[in-house]
Parts: sequence; C-alpha cells; structure tokens
Amino acid sequence: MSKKIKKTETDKDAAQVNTTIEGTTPENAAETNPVDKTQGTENPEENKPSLFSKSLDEENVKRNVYVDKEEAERFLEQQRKKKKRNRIIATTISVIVVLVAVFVVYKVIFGGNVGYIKWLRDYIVMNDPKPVGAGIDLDAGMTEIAKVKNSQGGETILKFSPADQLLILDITNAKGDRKEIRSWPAPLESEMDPATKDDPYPKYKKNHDIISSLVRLGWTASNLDGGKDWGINQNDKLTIEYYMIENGFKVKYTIPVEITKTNNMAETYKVNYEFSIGVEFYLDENGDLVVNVPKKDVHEDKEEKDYDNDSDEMPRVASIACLPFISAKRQGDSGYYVTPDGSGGLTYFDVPRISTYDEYQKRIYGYDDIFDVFNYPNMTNETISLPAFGTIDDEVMLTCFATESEANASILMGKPGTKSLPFYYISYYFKWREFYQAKLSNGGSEYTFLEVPSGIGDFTMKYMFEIDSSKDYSYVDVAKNIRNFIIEKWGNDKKTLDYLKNSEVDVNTEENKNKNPDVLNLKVFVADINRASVSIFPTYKVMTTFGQIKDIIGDTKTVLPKIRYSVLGWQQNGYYGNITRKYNIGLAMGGSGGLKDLNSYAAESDATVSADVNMLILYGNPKGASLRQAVVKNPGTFYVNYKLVSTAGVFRRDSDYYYMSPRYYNNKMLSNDIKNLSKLGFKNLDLQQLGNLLYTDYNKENALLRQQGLEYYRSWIVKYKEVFDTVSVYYGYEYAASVADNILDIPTETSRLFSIDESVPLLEIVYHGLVDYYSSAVNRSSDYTKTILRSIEYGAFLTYEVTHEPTEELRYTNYNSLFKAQYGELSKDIQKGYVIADKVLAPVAAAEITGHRCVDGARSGNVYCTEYSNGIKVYVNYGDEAFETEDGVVPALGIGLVTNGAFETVNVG
Amino acid sequence: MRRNISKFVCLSVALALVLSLFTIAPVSAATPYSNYFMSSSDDYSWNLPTPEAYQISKVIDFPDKEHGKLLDPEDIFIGPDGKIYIADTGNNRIVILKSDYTFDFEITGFEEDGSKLSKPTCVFVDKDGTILVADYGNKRLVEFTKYGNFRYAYPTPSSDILVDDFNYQPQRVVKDEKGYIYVCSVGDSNGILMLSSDGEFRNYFGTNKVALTFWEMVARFLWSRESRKGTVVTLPYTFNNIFIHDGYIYATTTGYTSAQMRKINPAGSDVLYAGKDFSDIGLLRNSADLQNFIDVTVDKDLNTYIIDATYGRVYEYDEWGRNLFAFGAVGTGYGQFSLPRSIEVDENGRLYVLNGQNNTVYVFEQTEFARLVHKANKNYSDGKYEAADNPDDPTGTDNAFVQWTEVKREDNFYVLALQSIGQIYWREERYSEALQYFYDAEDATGASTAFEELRSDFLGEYFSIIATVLVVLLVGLVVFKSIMKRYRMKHPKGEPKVNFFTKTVAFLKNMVHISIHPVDGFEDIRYENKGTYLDAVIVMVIYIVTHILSLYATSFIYRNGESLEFIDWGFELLFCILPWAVICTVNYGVTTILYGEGRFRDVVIGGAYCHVPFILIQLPLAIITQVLTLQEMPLYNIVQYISYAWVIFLVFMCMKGVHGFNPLKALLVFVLTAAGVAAVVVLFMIVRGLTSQLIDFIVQFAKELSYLV
Repeated sequence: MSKKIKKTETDKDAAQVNTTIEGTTPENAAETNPVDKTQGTENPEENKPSLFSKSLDEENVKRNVYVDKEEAERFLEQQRKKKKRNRIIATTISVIVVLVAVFVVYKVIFGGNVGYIKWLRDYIVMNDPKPVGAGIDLDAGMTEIAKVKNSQGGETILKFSPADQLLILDITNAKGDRKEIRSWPAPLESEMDPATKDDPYPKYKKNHDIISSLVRLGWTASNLDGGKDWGINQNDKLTIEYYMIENGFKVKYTIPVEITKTNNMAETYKVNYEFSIGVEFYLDENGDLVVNVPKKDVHEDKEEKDYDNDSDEMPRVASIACLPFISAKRQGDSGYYVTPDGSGGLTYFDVPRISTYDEYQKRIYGYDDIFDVFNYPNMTNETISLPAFGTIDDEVMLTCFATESEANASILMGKPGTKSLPFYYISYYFKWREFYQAKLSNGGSEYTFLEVPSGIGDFTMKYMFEIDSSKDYSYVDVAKNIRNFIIEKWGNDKKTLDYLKNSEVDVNTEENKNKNPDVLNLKVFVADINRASVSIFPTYKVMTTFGQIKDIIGDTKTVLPKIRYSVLGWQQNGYYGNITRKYNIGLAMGGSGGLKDLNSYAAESDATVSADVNMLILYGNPKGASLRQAVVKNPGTFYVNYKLVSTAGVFRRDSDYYYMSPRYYNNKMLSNDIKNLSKLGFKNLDLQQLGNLLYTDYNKENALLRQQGLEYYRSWIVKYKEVFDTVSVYYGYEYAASVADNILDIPTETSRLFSIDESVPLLEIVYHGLVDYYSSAVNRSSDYTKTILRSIEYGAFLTYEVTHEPTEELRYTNYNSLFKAQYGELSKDIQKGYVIADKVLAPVAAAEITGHRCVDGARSGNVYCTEYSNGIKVYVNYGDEAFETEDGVVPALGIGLVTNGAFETVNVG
Repeated sequence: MRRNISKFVCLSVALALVLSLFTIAPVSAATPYSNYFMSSSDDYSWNLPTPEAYQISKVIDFPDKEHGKLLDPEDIFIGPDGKIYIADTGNNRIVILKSDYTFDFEITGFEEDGSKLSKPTCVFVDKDGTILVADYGNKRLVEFTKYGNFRYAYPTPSSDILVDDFNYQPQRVVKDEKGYIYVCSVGDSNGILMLSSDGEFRNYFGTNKVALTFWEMVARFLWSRESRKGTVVTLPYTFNNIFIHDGYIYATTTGYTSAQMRKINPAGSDVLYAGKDFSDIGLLRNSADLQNFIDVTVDKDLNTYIIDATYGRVYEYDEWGRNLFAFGAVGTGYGQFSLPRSIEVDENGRLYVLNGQNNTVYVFEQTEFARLVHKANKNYSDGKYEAADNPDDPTGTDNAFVQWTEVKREDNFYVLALQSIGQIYWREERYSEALQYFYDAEDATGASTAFEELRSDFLGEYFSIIATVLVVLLVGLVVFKSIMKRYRMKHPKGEPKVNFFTKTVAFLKNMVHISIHPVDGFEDIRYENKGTYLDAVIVMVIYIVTHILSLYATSFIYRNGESLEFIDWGFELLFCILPWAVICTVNYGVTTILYGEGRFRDVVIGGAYCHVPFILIQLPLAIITQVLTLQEMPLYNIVQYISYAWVIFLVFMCMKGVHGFNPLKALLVFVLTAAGVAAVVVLFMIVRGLTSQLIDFIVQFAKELSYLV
C-alpha cells in the first residue's frame, strides 16, 4: 500500500489543508491508521467535534476523503506558529525599514551633506584675537602705531595712515641706516592721479583701490558664482574700522552682500547678508612685522535668512592675501624674488618677461590632488618645500615666513602686466576654503563649487626686513634666515642639531669621521608588474633578486664603504604592487626568507640596507581594506584617483589608483607595518610620499586637512624612528625633513616656468648639515656629468639606480623610464661617482653652506662656487673650457676643491 | 623720397626690435615634456621612453616694445641664407631675423604700390632669396626681393577648371626649382593649387582621398549618384600645410584621417609614406582627442619633423619613415607648446617651433643622444658601418656600428639601434648575432632574413647527412615493417588486450575517423549513440591544450615578433570555448524549429569533434614554423586556410549528419546558424551595454545615497 502523503485541496484557507492517505476510505481508515483506532475511547475531550473539524469532516465525507484530525490539528498548530513567527519577522523588518527610511529622509532633508564634514580640531591653531584698544579715526593721517627695538640694533616704527590705507615700516639699524618700507609702492609721475599729486602720498590714477588694499580677499556671494578675488577696497559697500592693539593695529572689514534668489514659485526676492574679517598688524619683540588673521575674527552671516532653506547660497570667504604689494617692484629694478620652488628659484626684475598673463601660484608643500585637477600631467613643476620666500632689493632684504596654517597657503607672484598692474608682487595666499570641480549629475557638466566647511585656523605670517647700506644681500642670506627659522621651529628634536651648532667642527677626526654619512645611495630595483601580462595570471619582472642584491653589496661594500643601499620594489608584485598585501613577497624575488637573509647579511657586513616603502598610494584595488573607509575622497562623491603618466606624457587610462586616507593608515596599518617591516629584518626605511605628497581627505570616515595630514606624517616618522635605525623621506618638505634622517631625491632644479629665471640651492643651503640629502639617480638623467656637477654644487650626495638584469626587461613595465641601469654596465660609473662624492662632499657633510655664487658672471654662468662653514670651497665648472678662479684653474666639466687654502681639481667629464 | 622715409621707419623699428629682442637664459633642468619614440611593431604600437633628444635653448620674443611683439604668427621659414622669416599675421608683416636671432628687418608692404600686406599667413624663400608671401587677407600671393622690396603680386588664379564659386584663400605657399608655385587654399578640398611661375593656374595637385565611413561606402554601393542627391556630400580633407624639399611636396592633413602626412612626387603620387597612419597610437590609447598635424619640415638628412597641435608633440621620422623621436607637451612652461603653429629645422639640426599662444619662437637644440642617433643613422644610410674594428677609423667616428652600440648603451630599449646593429651583422654575414639583435628588437622581418641565411647555411653544410639519414630511416622502416609482417605471420596476435592505452588509442582513432569520414561519423553520434559528453570534453581539452601549445610553439618570426608575455590566456581560453558553446546553442535552437533530429548532446558532441582538424594541424604547423621564414608564409597560410576550411566543412557535415538533414536543408541551417550567432553577438553587445549602464546607475545611485547619508 502506498504511504505517499500528499496535500489535498490546496485552498484559500490554510485550515482546509489536510492530509490523506492515498487509497483509503472512511471504512478502511481504522485499519490503515493506528491513531484512529483510539479515536473516541481515550480522550473524550479530544474527540469532541469542533465546528471547524465538523465542517471539515462533513466536507471531507462529502468528498469521500478521510481526515486525520490530530494530524490536522498539529499541522494547523504549526501553521499558526509559523504565521506568528512570520508576523514577528515582518513587523521587525518593517520597523527597521521605516527607521532607515526616516533616518535617510531626516539626513537628506535636515543635513548630513558632505559639506558638513566635521574636521578634527587637532593641530589647528585658533587663538583669541588680541584685545583691541581705542579706535583709530578713519580720516587720520600717517600715525605712529608702535616702536620696537629690532634685532639689527636699531628700531622699527610701525606707522599707518587710515586715510591713505598705507602702512609704513620705518626701519633703522645699528649703523644708522634707515629705510621706509611701504605697503604699496609710490606711483611714478606718469601713474599719479593728478588730483593727488601734491598729497604726501599720491594716489594711482588707475587701479588705486586694488593697489592700496591691505588685503586681497577671495569670497563668493553664493556657492555657484565662481568667486571674486581682488583688492578688498574695490568693494564700494565695504565698511572699515581700525583699532589699536598691542604694538600694532587691527583692521576690521565688513562687507554687506545682497543676493537675489528665486523661490519654488519662481518668484525672485532679495536677501541681505554680511560677513567680516579682522586682520592684525603688529611688531613682535624683534621688530619684525607680524600679520595675523585670527579665525575667530572671521564672521560669516550664519543667520537663516533664506525662505527655501538653500543655505549653501550665502556669502563665504575663500582666501586672503595680506600686504600683497609690500614687496612690489617695477620692471628694470635691481634685485629679485627668491622662491623655494624646487631647489629654489630667482625671479629678476630686470629680465623682460614672455607675454603670459597668469600669476605664479603654488601651494606650500605641493599640489593637493583633491583640488588641483589637471587634464594633462603637469611636467613643468617642482614643488615648494619651505614655508618662506624672500625679496632682495638695494640694501634691503625681506624674508617672509608663513608661521601658522602654512599647509593651506600658496606663494603668489605676479609680474608686470598681470592683472593690469605695473609691477612684480609676491605674497602668501591663504585659503580657508577651496574651489573644486564637481558634477550635479553623472552625465552633466562640471561646475566649480566652493567648499562649505572650513577647518583652517589662524593664518599668520612674519615679515623680517633687514637693511644694510654696506651689504650686498643675496639669496644665501635669505636661505640663512630660513635656516635659522626652521632650526628654531624644529627645536631640539633633531639629533643632528647639537652637532651642527658647532659648524667649526673638525670633520677629519676619527670620531667625526664616523658621523660622516654614506656618500652614495645605491638604489637597487627588485621587481615590477609586467604590463603585458593579463590580469588573470599577472606576472612580474624580477630585475634583481635578494641574493643578487647580496652580491652587489659584496661587490661594492669593501671597495666603497660609505654607501647605502635602497631596496625598491621588494613587496608583492613589485614596485607597483598593492600595499595592503605587500608582505606576501614573491618567491621569484627570493621570498620573505631571502629578504631576511639579505638583511642579516647586511647586518653582518655593516651595510646600510634600506627598504623603500610605498605608504599611501594604492595601486590596484585595496584588497583587504574597505574602499569606503580606506580611500581619500574629494568634496564631491568620488574617490580621488591617482593616475600614472604614460610614456607619451598623458594620464594612463587603466591606472585608476587611489590614495589611502592618512587616518586610516594611522589607525589600521601603521603598527602592523612597523611590526612586519621589523620582522623582515629591515633596519632602515625610505618612506615614500611622506616628504613629497600632502592632500586633504574628504572621506567622512577619515576627514583630514593638509595641516593635520602633515602632523600625522611627522608622527609616523617619529614612531618609525623608535624602531628603525634611520628613516628617510623623499624630496624633503620641511615638516618631514624636521624629523627624518635623510632626504632622497632632493630637487636640484627649480620649475621650468617663464616666471623663474634661475635655479639656486636655497633648499640645500637651508638643509645642509641639518639633514643628509641625496640627489636623484644620476643614471636617470641624460647628462651624467652635468648631473654630478649639479649635485656637487648643491652639496647633494649622489644616487645611482641599478638592476641586475638588463634593463631591456623593463620595456613593458611601468618602470620603463629606467633605461640604463644594469649594474654590470654601471659599476665603473658608480665607483667614479663615489670617489668624487667621498672626496668633495664627505668633508663638508656636517658643515653649513655659507656662500654660493656664480663665478664667471652675475647670473646663469658656467662656474659656481659653494662655500662651507669649515672653510672648504667647492668650484664646479659646467663649461667646455677651464676657468681660472681666485683659488686656481677649474678644469672644464670638473671640480675645484679648496681645503685649508690648498687647491686641487677633480675631473668629472 | 617717400620710400626712403618708409625705409627709415623700417630701420627705426628694426633697431628698436634689435634692442628689445631677448632670449631667456636657459636653466639646465630636465625637460618639462615627455621624450619617447614609437616602437615600429605594427601590431602593438608601444611608446618607449628615450633620453632627452631635444632641449630648449632659446625663446625668441620681443617683450619690451608693444609694436615689437609678434601677434598671432602663423608661419616660420628658414631661408637658404640661414635667416629666419616669420609671418607675423596679426601685425600684417613678415619679420626677418638674422641667424643669430637678432632682428634684421620687416616687410609690411606699402599702400602706394599695392604691396601692403593683410594677414600674411605664410612665407617662403627660394634659393635666390626671393620672398613669397601668402597674403591671405588680400587673397593673393606677393613676391618681394630678398631686401624686402615689392616685386610682384599674383592675383586670384582663374581657370575653366576652377569652379564658379571658387574662393581663393591662400594659406600656405611653396615654390619648386622650376618656378611652379604650390598653394594651399583654405577649404579647397580639391588639393594643392599648382600655379605656373607667372601665377596661372595649371591644375590641382595631390588631392586627398575621400575618407568614407563604412555606412557611406554601403550607401554608395547600394544607391546611385542620382538617388544620393540631397544627402551630405563627403569631401576629401583639405591640406593644412605644405613644405617642399628636393622637388617633393610634403603635406599635412588634419588628424581625422590616416595619411596625415604625405610625401608627393612631382607627378602627384605618394611616395614612401603612402597611407601610413601617423597617429600616436600609444598616446591615443589613453586620451580621446584626435591629433591635428599642422606642419611638416625636412632636414638635410631627409629626416622629417611633424608637429601635432592637439597634444603639442613633435615627431621625427627618418627617411624610411621610422620614428626616431617624439617629444613635447601642452602647457605654458618653458619649452611646452600652447597652440603651436609651425615648425622648421635649420642646417645645424636646430628645431624652431612657432608658439601661437604666447607669440614666441622656441629653439630646440639636439642633445648628445640625438646627435648620436642622427650620426649613426646617417652613417648607416651612407653605408659607413663595420662590426669589426676599422684601423682607418679607430675612434669609430664614421662607423654606424660603433654609434649604434653607444646608443644601445645609453638606452637599452632603443629598438632602432637594435635593428640597425642586427642589420649590420646581417650585412656582414654574422647571422646568428644578427638574429639575436632582431629578437631583441622584436623585428620579425629582420629575424626572418637572418634565419633564412642561417638555415640555408645549415642545409648547405648538412644536406647530404640529412638526406642520408632520411633515406636510411626510410629503408629501415620498410625493412622493419617487412620483418614485423613475417614475424606476425609466424606469431599471430592473440585477443587484443583492453587497457587505458588501447582505449586511448581507440578514442584517438575514432576522433580522426570522424574528421576524415564525417558522413558516417556524425550520423553514428546521433543514431548509434557513439560519443558521450565525456568524449566532447576530452576533445575540447585536447583542443585547448594543443591551441595553447601551438601558441608557444609558433616561432618568433611567425608571431610577428610579439613577446609571449602578450598572450592573453583568458582570451585564448574564451576563444576556444565560446564559439563552440554559442554555435551549439544557436544550432540546437535553429534545428529545433526546423525539425532537426539531433539532440542537444549530439550537437555538443558533434561540435566538439569539429575541432579535430585544428588539433591535427595547428600544433604540428606551429612546430614547423620553427624552421620556416617569412618566405614560406604563403605555404603556412594555405595550411591554415585548409584547417579552417576543413573545420567549416565538418561543421556543415555535423549539422547534416546529426540532424538527418538533406544537403540543401543542412546548408540552410548552416546559414541560419551563422546568422543566429551574429544575432547573439549583437544581442550580447546590447545586453552588455545595458547591463553596464544598469550597474553604473545602481553604483551612482548608491554613491548619491551614501553622499546624502
């Protein structure tokens, strides 16, 4: 007999679902179903026919179907329970959905916009404004505000004329020299407004409002108007108030703004807003002028005045440049600007300019890839490593420092003709908010928006003027001022400082010889992913195995003892491998064991082997890390892409890589990296990005400002240094150089811009002796001789980059710009470079650069001389002919070295 | 008297310009632009970096004086006297600089004699120093003496050949040694106007071909000229610049078509570069904007330089059309191009680029590396090379081999050096060394020529031995067979054992049997149930393995020099499986409608067996390529075609046999299946597009939501 149980009458009501036994009838059911045998005997209550069962029975009898009541009850009970459970689940889900919906609606309607990112307050300086005293009459003429003894033995008097909006610094020195520095230059006869010709301070007939503005202000009336950025006096509704403060005065600007808006009914209406800023000008204890813009004195109208709640559409301040024309110079004047662009650049006032109309404007500490978006790779530019610039003029030198919020400042430089102004000008340009490009819809056009939140604190800059009628100031003096400034800023953190304080130290003693650093950095390239291979089976080109690195060390260390080795591309998949999985080192390279073995060998051989570590660029997808949390975002909704530059000089399409959020690295990766690098046996590290890449992060999870980012970087270097012997950074932004042991690939050129006429070793003069620095790889340049000469001139130890395999193998990798690097071919060049560096640079490693000049001409000549605090002079000759100097004849393409008065030559070419 | 006054004014202006001319002192930095060359491999163009080839040495500008500045200059020309002539279009004048870049004089023309220039867009100087100007604003050509005195004005040409609404707008002009004048007129798609020495129109010269799209071609094929009336007419692209050298006209056309640069002989035909696409594939792979080649010039060694305005790139080709260097970048930096307009080269190999945006002329100097390459290439083309040391030239000054070796040392990737060294070895009959260099250069043609010689030498030396061995083997085989035959007669075989080996042999035999006897074979699959899914899988696995092995076994020459690293295993796997899967599915669908008798399994199994010719032919053929040169390529191709034809035949027979169709119906099914496969491909593309849009929509929606939340 079949025992198959099937559902019958799959009906509308679950109660009607019963079970039957096929082939049974009421008559034979008792036989077939043992349960039925007890029916009506054991439990009379149970046998009471319910209305439900009765109806079922009757229905089933009619249909000639047997029903097992108990089974049915049990089934129904199950159904009821199931129903109840489902109801609970459904209710719970509904509640959750409703809650989520409410949350989303709440967030969408009442805020949560990315514009309202809450920045951390760490490392942001926000002091109270100085207490104000009496107000100054708007019509007052030139008034003496403060008088302070200055560091030159004289005094500095701060004067100000509200009527003329003219600030004057009246400076005297111990010799009795006196100079007046004006906040805006006096107009020439032809430029004067005839009506004011006889005034003590005549006005310009053109653009006087711009020129006389103490402040250049950038702001937007609404978020979408593109912004205004020019002299604050240009605003005819401007209200100005002046107040005395300690040793200075304060100006308060208030700007009313009327915005026409449209409501939902397409009706226009006007809304009045106003915003104000206060700027403090005062003398410090050294008589230097300090300009401070306290964040607490920036007041934007936050009152809700908008009927349609479109609160984005209100005036906001974007940027400020103070005293934009205090260093203004005319075409043909003597002197120049000194900018820390790359190694340092000079802009002469007597060089006619190519007809371009754009201003030079560069961020201190490089581009911010979140905001600076380029259609094509920017190949022109070096970046700015120091928060300072200088001006050299007849008998006057200005060194200007950005002392607070420098990471959000740019150096702004204009030339005659720019903005229709007749002079060169230079100043800092601080940004409270950044403009950025974003789309309103995916397929739509890009618009320019201004950031809504502003996390930046006080902006402070310091103007240090020096006068001396008998002195011929140069960029070397500017560099020395900057050096003193950063020594003070770095404090005693820098271990080399004590050693350097005595610049007369004899570097030839045994003790001091040991302090001589390695004079040559040999980068050894291990591997890179092979672009020709497909993603299913990626392969990588191993150019040097760890065993081969040992051979190279063995080959060089005994002959060239003062050499350090940087190991590049050792991690999983090589140089462009993913940093979240970097410790799974490929066996083809030698594996983790091979790397440990290399490090042990290095320790035994007393060789400095340093691991080049990619810290923040995520090549490929960040495996093991959430994109949402780990990756930097821009103020729009998008992750910020890092793109490689193709050989042809455009961005590569298939290289949509990411930047890692510094806070994510700090919280999730830092300690693991320290542990893992340590485990591999490394004693020294070359940390990528920390010295040459700074960005804002708009990822809500990890939002971070540049000014905070640099503090994170600095803290990481310090943490790494607690575990590792030396930590090096690339390029050498000041904040990283302050704590790192070495700088690699230091720039030895300035940018290739029409605004800059000459490269000078400003950065090198500042750093020399404070921190050891190395040039970029000599064999990456097209002219080895000139590259070596430049490195020697700038005091940079040499670098070479080598592989064991022929570099042809790199042809189809991202690393194919290295086309001459096989160790076998280069070993003689390396040896030669080492000998030169050891002979010329080792003796001056701890000394300060005290002089640098062009010997065979006023500027841009062929022969240069660098002088050191220990008396050593180094001449380099880039020319094809020997050149006779006061110390001896420097050979063509060679070096002249003066030690203790003795002259000797070194041939390079 | 009036003329004297004018001359005085000119001289005064000249003096002012001399005083104001200034060239910025260069700072010795790395060039702010990329330096590379385009690998000559046709199938996979790669840009490979090189050391800097050209460095900017001067910027010619007139920054001091308002009237001295160039304004929208259009053309630059280096005269035979070494002077630099600039068509200063915006200032309606021609500026002439001495070879040391100081101002010499200017030509503006005079109202009185009708020589006043209006928007001159081009200047050309012939060997006598006569200055010919395209006076664009006045729609004429004007000729001046070498001192700038007006000589003649060529009016708008007229001819019956010229259309009634002919609009003469001379933009570029050159003159050949016979006195013929060639003019590029804006918008004239008929070609270059060829005028006689007295300005009479002779004919059009070197007309560009009409670049039709696929659909335009279809339209032309399907509809008559009459029917196409009223539709948009596609005209040939117009020339945008011309240059003359040694009687050849070099002309550039916009980058919207291939043959962007042409070398046209006096008969109007292309020579050397016919049809060559000058696009920078490696660059365009990463960027969407089309290139726009706007000028061309040629140096004394017949190296050609073309400049692209879109990306600000200069490309240098040697006389055989091989790319030597590419460099440049768009930008406002020192040496970067913003709206480049014209390029010239002087006797010393200096390049002059007219930069439109800042109205300057950049002067580029060759680096040592570029000089080395040029010298090596020149010596090679002059036949000055020797792989061995030459006692007459111990320093190797006139030895291309020494110089190419030096180039290779400086840049391990520089393919031209590798190729040239290979060619030198080849010419010196050092074929194995030549072969190695051709391998390194990924030059299949060169490798083939070297290998051919090696093979010939080998055969010449060992032919008798090889022939003897073959004969001995053949005889041995015959003897062995005869002995085995006798042995079997004496000792007959027992029952054959069944084991894995015999099963495998039987399977392979069956596989071959089906491909040779498809009529029986495919019917057996359907009606005798011969064949299982496992068989199909085994066949496909064998096919995939042989396919991959054959990729590896194919010689370097027959891979066209392509590195094995470029083999995309994922693609190859799909290439093996996907057609089979799609064809089987479509065919089953089609035959279901058309009452085919085959089951799906029969179609799948039969389909797998259709790959057998590939299995039988591909791998052996690939192995054979190891001893073939490109000379035998036709033979190789024939065998390949045979294997394709065989497979197609098997597919047809499979459809016929498996489904029990008559030949006619089988043909119909075959065609319908092909159409079905095409439809599937199209459908796949559509679905793929829609799916990606859907995914993009979801991702964007999620991003927007995350943005808001």
